[in-house]
Amino acid sequence: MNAFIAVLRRDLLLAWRSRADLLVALSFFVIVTSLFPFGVGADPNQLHAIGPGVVWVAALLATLLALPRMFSQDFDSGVLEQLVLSPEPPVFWVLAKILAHWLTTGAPLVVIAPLLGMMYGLKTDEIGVLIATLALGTPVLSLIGAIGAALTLGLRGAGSLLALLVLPLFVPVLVFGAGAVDAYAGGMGIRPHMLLMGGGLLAALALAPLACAAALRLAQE
Amino acid sequence: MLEIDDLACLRGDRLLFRHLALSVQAGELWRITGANGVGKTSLLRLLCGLATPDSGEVRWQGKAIRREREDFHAALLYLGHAAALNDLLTPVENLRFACAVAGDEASTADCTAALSRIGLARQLDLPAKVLSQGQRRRVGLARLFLATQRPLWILDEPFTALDVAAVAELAQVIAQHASAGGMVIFTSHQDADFGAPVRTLDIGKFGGAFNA
Repeated sequence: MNAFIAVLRRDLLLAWRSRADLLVALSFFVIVTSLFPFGVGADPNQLHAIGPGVVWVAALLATLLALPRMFSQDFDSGVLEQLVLSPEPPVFWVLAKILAHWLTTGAPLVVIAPLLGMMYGLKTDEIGVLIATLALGTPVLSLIGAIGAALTLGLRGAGSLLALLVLPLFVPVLVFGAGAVDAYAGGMGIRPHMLLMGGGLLAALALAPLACAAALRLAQE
Repeated sequence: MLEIDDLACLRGDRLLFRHLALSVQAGELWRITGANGVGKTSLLRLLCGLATPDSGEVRWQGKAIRREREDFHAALLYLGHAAALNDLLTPVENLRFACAVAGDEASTADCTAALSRIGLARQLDLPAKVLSQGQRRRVGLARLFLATQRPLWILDEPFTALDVAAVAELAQVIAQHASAGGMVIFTSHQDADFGAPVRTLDIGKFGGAFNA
């Protein structure tokens, strides 16, 4: 657990010291979401219909934007080597890195999403559903993305390769996340969507750190 | 005791070395020598378990390090080519983090003392990005003072970028560790006075068919 706490504290401290970098992903999220009304027109009904999907796609792209940073700095500086040599099981510190990444990129997206929901004319309760799906879904994006970030470490063009690798894997999260809000607006229950997303989160939480740790070991070879 | 036998290492399709055998006992100082590109760093990474040998195995206290990874890594201190520093953290923060990850409890006071001892008393609060090459190297080496309880030290070019006085002092620290029953394996292109016998292993002798 020592390594977990040490890595989490350090990564949060580093995020705070380079907070301008965090604003990039967040501003990207806001700007992409704001572009759509210019492209598709300002018809309130249409905006209301596409709102949840747009917010979700933008959240997904913003997460992707911040992914390459997750391990690359530590890989270049040799810190990752020292982490791999830690006597503690790698799953702990890998999980700490993913948690720090979510707290600094995913969580701010969840916090700012209500504003963007209002922009698309979503009702208060619909915004509540949107927030709930983002809160369950963005950690999955960080967990799956971490595997991709670890696999592409040290490669040329890692950023674009990472996008090709993880975007298809983000699709189920997107389908159920945006689908839940649509289902709610259509008067149906959101329970199945939320259960599936919760299950997905638990599965990713159990498996992604293992896969990520294995990929980071391979990156050292 | 660290033992290797019949170790081979491939880089791409080039054989760096093969049939390499070595046994390191408590109290011994080993220097790995060889020309550039002969595989010194590769050998050290194999010994640490960062890389997997293409044949042969590394054993720590008679057990393969693959199987007893956690025990082995608790006994090992490896300082690689890179100083493993983050540019935005101060030397104290970097050192405390390195110790915590390795499982050594080191307080801020311990880290400050170690850094002062290695000559960085006036740089304690500066971010690592403003440090010179030699100062960065010293931050990494400060871990030696906090890891004396770890029997096996593997150091990749520890003397690089250090000034003459620092090299002499570091040689003393290394020799002390060996005389206290530790083992040190290092590479260096620089000579230093250890005041103790240093065994050498020339990788060039185990070279593959291509460099023979």
